[in-house]
Amino acid sequence: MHDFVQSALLPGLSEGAIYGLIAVAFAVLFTTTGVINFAHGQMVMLMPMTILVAVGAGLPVWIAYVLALVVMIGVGLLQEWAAVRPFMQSGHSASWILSTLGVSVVLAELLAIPYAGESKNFTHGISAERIEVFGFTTSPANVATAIALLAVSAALMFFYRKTKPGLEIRAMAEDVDGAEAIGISRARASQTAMTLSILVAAVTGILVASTQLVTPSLGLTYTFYGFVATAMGGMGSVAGALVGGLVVGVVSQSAAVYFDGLFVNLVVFGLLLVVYVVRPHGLFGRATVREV
Amino acid sequence: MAFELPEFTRRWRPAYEAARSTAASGYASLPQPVRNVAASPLAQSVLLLVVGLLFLISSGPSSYNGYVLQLIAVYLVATLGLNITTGYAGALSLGQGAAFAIGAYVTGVLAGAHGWPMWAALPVSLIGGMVVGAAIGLPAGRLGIIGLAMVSLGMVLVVNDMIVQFRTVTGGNDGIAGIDPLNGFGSTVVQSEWFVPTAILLVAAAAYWLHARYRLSGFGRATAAVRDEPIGASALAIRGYLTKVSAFAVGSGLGALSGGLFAYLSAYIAPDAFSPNLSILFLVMVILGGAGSRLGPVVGTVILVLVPLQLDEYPHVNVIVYGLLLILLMRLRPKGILSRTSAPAPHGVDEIATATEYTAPARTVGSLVLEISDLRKSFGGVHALGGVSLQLRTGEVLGLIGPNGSGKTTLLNVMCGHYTPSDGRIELRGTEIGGHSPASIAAHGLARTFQTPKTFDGMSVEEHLALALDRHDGDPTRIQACRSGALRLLELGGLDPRDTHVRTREGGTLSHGQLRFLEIATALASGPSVLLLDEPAAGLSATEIDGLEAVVSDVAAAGVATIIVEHHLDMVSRLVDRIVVLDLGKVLWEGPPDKLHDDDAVRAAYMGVS
Repeated sequence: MHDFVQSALLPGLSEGAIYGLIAVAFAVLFTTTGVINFAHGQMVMLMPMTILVAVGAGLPVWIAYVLALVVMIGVGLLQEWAAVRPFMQSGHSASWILSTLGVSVVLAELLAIPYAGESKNFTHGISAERIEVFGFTTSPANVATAIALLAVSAALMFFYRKTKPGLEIRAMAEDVDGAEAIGISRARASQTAMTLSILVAAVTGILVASTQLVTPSLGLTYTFYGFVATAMGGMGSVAGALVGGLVVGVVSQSAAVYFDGLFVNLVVFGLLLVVYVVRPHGLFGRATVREV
Repeated sequence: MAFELPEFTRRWRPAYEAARSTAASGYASLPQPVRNVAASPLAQSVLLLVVGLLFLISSGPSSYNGYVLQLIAVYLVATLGLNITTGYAGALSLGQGAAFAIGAYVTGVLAGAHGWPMWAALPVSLIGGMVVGAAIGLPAGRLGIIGLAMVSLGMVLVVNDMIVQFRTVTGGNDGIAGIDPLNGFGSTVVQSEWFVPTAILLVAAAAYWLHARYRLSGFGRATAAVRDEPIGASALAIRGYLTKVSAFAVGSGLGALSGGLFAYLSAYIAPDAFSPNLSILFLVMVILGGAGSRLGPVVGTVILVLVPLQLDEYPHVNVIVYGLLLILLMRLRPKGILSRTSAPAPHGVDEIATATEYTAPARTVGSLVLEISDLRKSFGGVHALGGVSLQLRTGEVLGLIGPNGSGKTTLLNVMCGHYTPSDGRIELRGTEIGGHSPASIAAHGLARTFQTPKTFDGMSVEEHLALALDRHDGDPTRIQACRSGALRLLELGGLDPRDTHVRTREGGTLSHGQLRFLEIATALASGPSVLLLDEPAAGLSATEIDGLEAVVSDVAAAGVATIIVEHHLDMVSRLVDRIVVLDLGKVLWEGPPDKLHDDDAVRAAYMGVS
């Protein structure tokens, strides 16, 4: 039991918190725009990569952080303008899957330029030193991922329920035309949702870099894992994303420990299929009534 | 700020559209036999083969240009397959690279390590790919486009891991070298440098033939109909699920075959060659050329093999280019260069076009064909239908009216199998059909139209009719009356099927009124025993309504039992034998049309007079 907790459950929850954060960001963008960002995994990698490049160029770490955040928001809004807003709530999922996939291809290739795609060690994040908590070994970075997931989810729920922009983008999520008719800007709502999902990506990026090597080519894999978490929790649900992420993390970590690292994708893939067969709309999603 | 493109990007569009429409109408004005040959898959694939062989002879099999030609042919097999999955069936697959990798490794292991000859190794690749494709397609019944995209993406990640994992078979990261064509099992290597290039071109031409033939077949037509409008397709007795699974299986099979050819072409394979980007590249090729168009993948593949080769000296640029291309395409021309997705279907439409004039006898009501007893349907706590009973006889036209929300469309939807009844019975020609699938009910002789026409945007007028004509049953007089009625409706909507330009127009280019006539004509062309029309007169002019009325009356005289849901009371009163008024999910009144206005309850509920 102790073994399971130490080698599968704890690291799994930490890993799962990262997938949860990706799924939360999917939910944020999806509820408002109806788009799932296939470039989100690359966005997550963009944060630590920009910091690494900036620090490598001789900038102080805090300036590198600020710069990375500016780059992230810039790239995010550019993507929102070119590949998300035109397909907002359009119902033509093939169009936005392909346009955001296009962004993901471009970003992935740009990320592969600085260090020829090699994995890099990131030392500007949260400490990954081992610490003992209640007899279990973990690290501040691992603890931080779990805290970040809870904090981000709580902050989002507060934003959606208590603030005016939050209410506005929820209105947009319910009915684009109706929301526009009462004076809510479609563009503003889409930009707000994108910025939020980018901020979540920035946090995720720092956490990923603090807990493992920065491998730019893993962007698509993160997108996939985040999507499995989304499918499990239910499309567009923040609470579902949180739970889904943690389940995916524990399952994948268990697969890595008890089988072999190369079976992880297979097991997560199997998990996706099981979700689709057993509960196609996810744990927290609403089943849609077929309209004729 | 909305996404606005600079002015110069729009300038080329009118010119392009003009050139395209000139070419299209030039083609349409060719005599029919010439067009039949030009559109035949066999002629097209032979032409492709001849062009390829001539190029190969002029450049030499071992030259750089010869290699580029072979690479195009190899990739073409994969994109043709993907066009079946994504273009014909509309299921976005991000996993064609997985099928390609599987095919490459099956051939690589069999030919490289076990000494199999080409003719034995490639078919195993093909079958392996089909099995994997069918497995990806199996959940297609429950998944939307997003789910299938993700499942196929996951497949790519898994296959790459498995290649490394089973290193005893696959050579792991070192790959497999020395994949040569052999003269027989464990025999010597084929010496001719012409062997592999010729084989690749032959397979590519055969793949093109198969891919084009697939679309032209009745099954391919059904596949495209399900892509465009699954509910409309189910009303024409088409079962959607099988079309998706088959498209995945055949598409992945060709992907794997392409991988097998790739193994022979490069003689060495390693996991690096099968990154997720390859899948996306295949997809961009199909989208650029025109997903669903038969020649589109050829155009897209040629462009996207040649352009990146030109950019080869600048690392990263070629990949960034096709990423950007994907974004731009989605904004500027989401349907790709060759945007026409319909296929010729001249045979079926001739049956309609040559339908002889039908002189209807006087209308008589015959035997019972549809009987509904105490039908109930609840959605949660809402009782949309609270015990409806009605009978319909052959040759009878029944008007179903009632205020909005009275359950008219729900009743139709339950009858057609879109909703399962909560309770009660529906018998069509003596068979209980309650809860059956829409396709099986339609196959049992029930045809319907919808409030908003559910026609197929990417299919031509003649294809719509061919879809309905794929089924034949019943009384020849009724069929003849229905065909003749369909022809009259088409003429009324300005869609005369004898005019080549008109019959090859795609649904997406027609006006709302035309779509309505096309939908009713399609429903009629199947020669149904029961016809359900949901607000057919909405948005039509007075003359059009008159024409529609005459046709419905004539087919009823030939024995078609018709239920018509309509708010247009004048038309209903003239046309129907009997009216049923629904209110709050129950039958409020039933009787002949001339008595309708005498009933106080009807006037209160429906006409708002107290």
